Amino acid sequence: MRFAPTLLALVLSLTAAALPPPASAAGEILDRPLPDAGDFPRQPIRIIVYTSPGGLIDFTARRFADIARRHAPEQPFVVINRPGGGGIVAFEEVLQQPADGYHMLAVTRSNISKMIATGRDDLIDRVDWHSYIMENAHVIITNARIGKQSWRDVYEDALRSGDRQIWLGADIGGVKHVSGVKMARQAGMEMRWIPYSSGGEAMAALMGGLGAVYLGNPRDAMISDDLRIVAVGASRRLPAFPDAPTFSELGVPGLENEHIWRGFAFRQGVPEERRAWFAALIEKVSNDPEWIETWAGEGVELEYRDSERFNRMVERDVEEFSFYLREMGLLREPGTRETLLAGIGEAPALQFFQVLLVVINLVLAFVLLQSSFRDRLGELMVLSVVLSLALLFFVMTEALPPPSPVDTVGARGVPRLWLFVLLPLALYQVFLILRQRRKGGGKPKKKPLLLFTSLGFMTSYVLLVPVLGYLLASAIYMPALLWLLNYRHPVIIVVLTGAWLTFSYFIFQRVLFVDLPAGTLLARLPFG
Amino acid sequence: MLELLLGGLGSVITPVAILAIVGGVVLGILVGAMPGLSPSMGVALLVPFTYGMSPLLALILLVAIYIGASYGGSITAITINAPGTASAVATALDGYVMTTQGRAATALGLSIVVSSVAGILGTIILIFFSVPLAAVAVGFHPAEYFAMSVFGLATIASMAGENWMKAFTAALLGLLLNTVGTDPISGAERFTFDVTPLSDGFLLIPALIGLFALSEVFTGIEKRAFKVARLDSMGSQWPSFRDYWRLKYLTLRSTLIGTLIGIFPGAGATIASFISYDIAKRLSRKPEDFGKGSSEGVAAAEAANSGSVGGAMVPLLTLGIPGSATTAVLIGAMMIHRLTPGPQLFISDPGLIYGIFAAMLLANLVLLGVGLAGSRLWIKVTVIPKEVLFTLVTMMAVVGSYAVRNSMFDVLCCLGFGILGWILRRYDYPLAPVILGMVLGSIAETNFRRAIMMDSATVFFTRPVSATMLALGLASFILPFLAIRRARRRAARSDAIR
Repeated sequence: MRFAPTLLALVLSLTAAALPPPASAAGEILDRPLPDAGDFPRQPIRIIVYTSPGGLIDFTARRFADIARRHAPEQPFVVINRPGGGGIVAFEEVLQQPADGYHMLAVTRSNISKMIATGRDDLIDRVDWHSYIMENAHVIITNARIGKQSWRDVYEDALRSGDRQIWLGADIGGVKHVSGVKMARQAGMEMRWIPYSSGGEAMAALMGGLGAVYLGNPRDAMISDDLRIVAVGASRRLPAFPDAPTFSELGVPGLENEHIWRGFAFRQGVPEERRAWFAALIEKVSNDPEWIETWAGEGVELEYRDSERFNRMVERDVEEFSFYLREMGLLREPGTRETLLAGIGEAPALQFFQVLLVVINLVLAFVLLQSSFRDRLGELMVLSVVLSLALLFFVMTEALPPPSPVDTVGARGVPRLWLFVLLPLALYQVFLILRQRRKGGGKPKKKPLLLFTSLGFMTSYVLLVPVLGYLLASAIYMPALLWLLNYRHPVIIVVLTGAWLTFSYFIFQRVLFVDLPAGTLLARLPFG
Repeated sequence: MLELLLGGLGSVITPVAILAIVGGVVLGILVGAMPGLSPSMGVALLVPFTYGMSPLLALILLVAIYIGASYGGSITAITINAPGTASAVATALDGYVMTTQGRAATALGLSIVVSSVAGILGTIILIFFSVPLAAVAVGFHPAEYFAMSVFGLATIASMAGENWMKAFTAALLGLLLNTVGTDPISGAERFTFDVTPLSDGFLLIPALIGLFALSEVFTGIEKRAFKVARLDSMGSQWPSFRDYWRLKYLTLRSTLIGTLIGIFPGAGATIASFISYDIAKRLSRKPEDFGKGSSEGVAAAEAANSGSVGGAMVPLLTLGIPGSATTAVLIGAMMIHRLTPGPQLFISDPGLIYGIFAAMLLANLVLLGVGLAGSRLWIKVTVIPKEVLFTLVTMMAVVGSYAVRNSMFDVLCCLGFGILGWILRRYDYPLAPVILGMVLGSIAETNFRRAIMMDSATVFFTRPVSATMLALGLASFILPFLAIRRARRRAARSDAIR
């Protein structure tokens, strides 16, 4: 009866093959068609990423765009990078677009801390936190080569070093900085947070032995055998890194939820049927086997959460970051500056100071025109404007946060250093010019009338582009400038203008997905 | 290693791979030559097209674009004084002057040949020395980065010569403009006047287009310089083999400088090209020709620029850390293809690594062929009627600066920088120091503050590398003044004798 088990297995497998497969929840979601949203989408959907290409959120958006294309083949998804201000530039850009669902923001928890730290928390309320897609725990990574193999090594080193133990990470007031401060506090140790502009640079510093630990994402530890995850800010061990202990296991409580999440947001007011369309699409991508495979082994926890749950998370994060950033002294409290210059550094006194500087320069130009230094007017005015700018900037530095124990140079230190060199240098040049006796006899320079007219044309063109649209404004400006420059070949002008417009439309608008301005005027017309 | 490299060569000498290299190089050159498009943007734009390719083929294509784009910036720098990238500014210093002297062919020929040779040498350094170089790169303390940026800034002294006061004013203006925006350490907004797009400061690309390309147009219109050079008078001036051979040591030295500086994450090609230009000037027999159409100047800047590509690939491949904006995008592309760059990749997939090395060598050869053929075409830009050229440059400036982040604000900035550049030129202020200040400003500031946060203010002098570089920077700052003084004395003495 040795063949009995084989026979049984054969019967079971044949039966299994004959029966329909059990419908998994993921399978159901993948098979479900996307809800009807009318004629949406009619054009490419832009995913706006707040970092430069190459970061983890950029990668997330690009991978998402790739897989989403298959589930919604009507239109492509295009990733556009709008770095700046920790997300402020990207948020502002999306908020300037119509609430039609064609501009989607790829967001992370870091945006919340950054907006609060910079006083732009208004942006948090103006966007619709639509879908949460994943999170990963913050982890402490060490370099085994410099003798830090475990959390105990880190802890003992911290006790020996006092407040001199260096933790490497991203910017001050960012989500990782807040986590780092919480971790050190809960563990009863002190550390110095050294911010780097990117995780890559901070990792390089760790590998070079410039810091004790790096606070980052689990995948960061995958690049070298020397790197160890010595503590995880989660309630349980990460399946991808089973050897890495959690803080609770290490006897440090209260650090079970140190993480960064990623998701998508829109401008408030996108029609409900389009929001539902996106919700179904994002859920589909979240359950796509290729998406799941992409993140396998990276220490990332994938989970789709709808808008309601996502908004609740954002609210909690706002409370938490406001509390910690205030405790860390990184929230600017109003009315803390008392000096006279600080008073000038604040609007509206600052606006008055700017007007005053403009008036002084105009008066000076008038006086010089009447004086024997008339032929040196340009040079002197350049220096006068440089000096005015330097003075304005100097006054404005008073309104900047002063040096702190964390950052002893502070935001005002380096600009002042440049100003302290620029001011005397410019003054010395003024002195040299004034010391020279007027040579006389030199021909005054011709007034550049053609240039000023061309500049007028160009300025008008730049101002008209948002109103008339790029194509129409260019169709007017290009022949006009050529004509002004005395190029009198009408046929070539027409051909050239047509060729340029075609080239710029196809290359920029169609290939590079640069949204050339369509023009507010045309949009208001009945056919616009 | 040789076996692995031959294996790599075998995997890239296939019709599809060669097509990818040629296509990538051509596309890269076009991206680099278009003001407003940077190498990192070019690579990022092509990433979605690589999804269906094998990881090796995808990386071959992207690396070929990177190599093409790094060279492409020099074409517009030489022909119309519009450097496509910040690292091509040093090329424009002499390259464009050569064009105005009717020597565009010499400048274009030199730039392409030197770029390719430097690219190949840089790749060879990458293949054989990447691991020890990477160890040096990661151990670089912020104090040393600061010292390196000071050394970079000190090159202004020799670049400016007698005009040093104006050059330093221009550099300080650049440094000051660089402080506008979000403070890189504390996150506080500085000098933004509540203008949101300024929270990211003045972007380099609109500034570059405005300062160089637009100011050139404005100056041309002011002087009504509409005269066009004759092409037949330029055609005969392509450099000969002897010209290239004469520059062999300079090319080698500049490549080494480019590759070595390229390995430091965040430092990159711009510092490398300026330092290399400066050293070439100091060691030249004709330093007075620099800035006035020196072929050595073009070769030094271009060799360092192309050499830095190999350098930037060192931390990427050996440590998984980006050495430049473009290599950051390459890391993203590798992740999309389920590759984790770093030392483990050398063990788990050596075929891929050596395939990339082989592709880099081949791409530089292709660059030479495509570039030499293309130079015959680029030179025709110089015979376009100036009225048409000026108009096209303003159109390119508008769309190029807009494309950076779909913002009309950047176009206005570009126009503002154009006017600033025109004024500075009119009163003999050099423009390159403004860009150098804008590029080096943030490296200097962040590392200065980071170094003090890590240690104390004395750290700059207690670390030998930092102290040495600061001393070198000081010397490089003072020596040109001493030379000027000596020359003045000599002139005064000879006047007295007469």
